[in-house]
Amino acid sequence: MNALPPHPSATRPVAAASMAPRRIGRVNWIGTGTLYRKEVKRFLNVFTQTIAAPVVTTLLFYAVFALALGGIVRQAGDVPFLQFLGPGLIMMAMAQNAFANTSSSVVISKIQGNIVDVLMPPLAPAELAFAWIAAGITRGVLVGLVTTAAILPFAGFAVHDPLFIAYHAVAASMMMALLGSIAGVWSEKFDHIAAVTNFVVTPMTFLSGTFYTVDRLPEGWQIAAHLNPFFYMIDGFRYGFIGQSDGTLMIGLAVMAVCNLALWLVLLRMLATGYKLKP
Amino acid sequence: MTGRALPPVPAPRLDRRFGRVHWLGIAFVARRDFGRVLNDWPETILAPVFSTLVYIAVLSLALGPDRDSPAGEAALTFALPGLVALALIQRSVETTAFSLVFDKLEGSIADVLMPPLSSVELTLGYVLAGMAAGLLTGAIVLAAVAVAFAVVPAMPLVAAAFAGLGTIMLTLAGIVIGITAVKWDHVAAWFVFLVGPVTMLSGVFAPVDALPAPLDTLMQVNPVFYLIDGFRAGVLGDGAAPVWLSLTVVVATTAMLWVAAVRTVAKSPRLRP
Repeated sequence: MNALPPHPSATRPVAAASMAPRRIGRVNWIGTGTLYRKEVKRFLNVFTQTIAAPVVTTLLFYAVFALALGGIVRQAGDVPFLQFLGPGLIMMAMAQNAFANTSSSVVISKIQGNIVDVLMPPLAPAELAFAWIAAGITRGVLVGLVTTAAILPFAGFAVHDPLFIAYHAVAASMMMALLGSIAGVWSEKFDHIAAVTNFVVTPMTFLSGTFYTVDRLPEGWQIAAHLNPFFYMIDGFRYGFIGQSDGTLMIGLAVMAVCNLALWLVLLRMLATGYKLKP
Repeated sequence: MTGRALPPVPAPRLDRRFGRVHWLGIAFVARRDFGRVLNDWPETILAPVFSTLVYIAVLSLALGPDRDSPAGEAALTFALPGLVALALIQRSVETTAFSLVFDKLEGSIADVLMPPLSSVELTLGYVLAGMAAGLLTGAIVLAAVAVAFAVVPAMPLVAAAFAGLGTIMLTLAGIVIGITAVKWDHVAAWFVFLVGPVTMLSGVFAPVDALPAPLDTLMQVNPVFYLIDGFRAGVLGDGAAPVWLSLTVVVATTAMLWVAAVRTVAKSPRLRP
């Protein structure tokens, strides 16, 4: 008997191989990269709200506080008040936007239900957190760059130490992105995250030395200021521009590193246990 | 067989009559909108009060040792009424604009479009709600400032008049924004690029003569400047512009915005596609 020739499909080993599960190495680079790109596109899509708006708001604050205080408070330490104000406001914009990026992303996903899009894929807690935080840092640094370009013609400050600027820009954006992710995971509705923004993040960024040197504070507040991580991020960042700081610079670097590490561990723990994410 | 005659059914009164003005409908729109504000009180009442106090704290701390100098004291006293007025008008414009956009996106705008309400009545309903929200927030901020800094309105009637007119003016602006905006992005853009600058650069924090050349002229054509200045005159007893001028500008602006808002409610394809 003549054997029938094998069915064409049997001679296509390629098709069979493609059905095998895709191997993921120790790190899911594709998944992490995809989530990062998605998070960045999310805010670039509405860049008027996420990049242009903070610039306008920061210029507005600069104008308002320069007008209100410029005539009376002429010096902040050894530098003119207007030069002192500029870097503080840039840091405030970066911090608020890094926080807004992760917090809004997580809360909106949770409420709309598409949080499953990031919970279902084979992403480890560290990979998920890394993509969120990296996107938050991207937004913070981007806002910082654009705001600096906008405010520089008015404030006229120079660059004293680019390394301090870069370190504190990234470390502060990271800290705020971590806080935003944690607050986002914790929030069950928009009211919760709005409350955290209104009653914690905004006052902390306003009252942590953006507008004044610590020696202008009453005695008891000076000690409180030195226990506040927000103070170190503004102070260190501003040192990079004006070469003058209120706190000890090395302590500032360490505080930012320790805060970021601690918050990173908290976020990983939340994602690993599925706190308020996997009911 | 003669059936028992059924008692005559009274004809349903389809043409329920209301007078020349549909007061019940206006009250419904106002209550509905103001109810939302009260429901959301941590965000609508508490947050503005809190952020005003943060602004005051920033100013006061930044002045530091200069706070007790005459110039420092003058700067702080100057800013206080401005901040109260700012909280009040921002609440008014936000209440109406957010509410309208929310209703349009959710489709629940039909609740106010279906009832037999004329454009004037609908506008009036929203204005009443915006007024109530703005005045409530403003009153709480004023009370906090009055207690903390012992600021008592010198001419309460003038202050009240400008507060009332200010809430009407900004609510009307909020109606135009809320109807013109198709999605949240648009509202955000209006607020960041127009409402923010116009309300913040209106002499809230610093007197007009402290401004550099192009800004001072710009401020003097800003109707919100006259609103804030008139309110400040009512609280501190003295403003940069005469009260009658401020009053004229504010009334004229409010009248123009009223016409614009009623026309938008009547004609806008973004309300009735």
